[in-house]
Amino acid sequence: MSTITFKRNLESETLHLPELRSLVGHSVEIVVRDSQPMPGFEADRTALLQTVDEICQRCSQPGWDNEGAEPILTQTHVIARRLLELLPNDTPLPVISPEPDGQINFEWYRASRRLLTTSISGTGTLYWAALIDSEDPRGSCQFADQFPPTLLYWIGMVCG
Amino acid sequence: MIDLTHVPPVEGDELLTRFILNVSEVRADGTVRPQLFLPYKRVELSVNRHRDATLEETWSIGQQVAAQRGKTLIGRTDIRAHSCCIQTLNVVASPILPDNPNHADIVGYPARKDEQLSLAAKLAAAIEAPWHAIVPESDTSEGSR
Repeated sequence: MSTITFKRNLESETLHLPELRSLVGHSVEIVVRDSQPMPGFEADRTALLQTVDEICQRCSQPGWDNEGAEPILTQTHVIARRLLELLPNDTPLPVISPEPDGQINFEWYRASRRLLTTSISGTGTLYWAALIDSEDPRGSCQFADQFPPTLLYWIGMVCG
Repeated sequence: MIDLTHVPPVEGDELLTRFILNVSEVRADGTVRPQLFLPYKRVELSVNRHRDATLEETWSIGQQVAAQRGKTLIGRTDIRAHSCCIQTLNVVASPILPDNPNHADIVGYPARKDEQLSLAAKLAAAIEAPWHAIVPESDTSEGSR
């Protein structure tokens, strides 16, 4: 996923896009993201959806880790699946794993200090933390049937 | 192993080990995932001090921990104590007597999950070397993946 971000004063000849007319004369930030689908993405997404199903099946009972883990509930499973289905097809797929508190983890990783880790809870709250060299942004957001723009931004910073 | 009757405080340059019991906690490139340092139920995390212990003794403790939890020991990763003392975290000696005087805890995890994830990611990133796979008892060399 290639993303270019730049700031400039928007002049009439900057872009031949009528949608931007109301911003002519303003200082704007322009973000251009390559939305070319990645080859094999849909097949990989389908395989990963199966992985989610397998993880949720394996971790559906209390104590699935022999250490008192909480079960992954149906609503957590549904949200994880939906999140994966909504992931834009030019975005790298995450590595998925269960967590002992019954949440499901999505990780985008490029290096130890370039990663985004996200925990999906059954209430729809997504807890996330990123490491981008010396930056350590983190927070939470509520899933509302669209892929959270905040996460997309940080995936771009990790993988872009 | 550390003298049972005199367990010293953890010093900053001490090497600590975290036993790996789940394959989802490691990556094929030799790094460990933040999950390895994510606490659950308690807001502290068990580690084992290398101080005064042979590698065989450390591995033996790992085998005991795995057996107690009905799991297979996959390996271990090592981290300096001072690397664990970030933000709210600290390392304290927490001997389990009489079997494991070298046990210690990383304490001070916040309750919020995003804060825990952030700290766990930083601890995982502080690991200096690839994780070590468990080796057969007959092999005295360090494990390789």
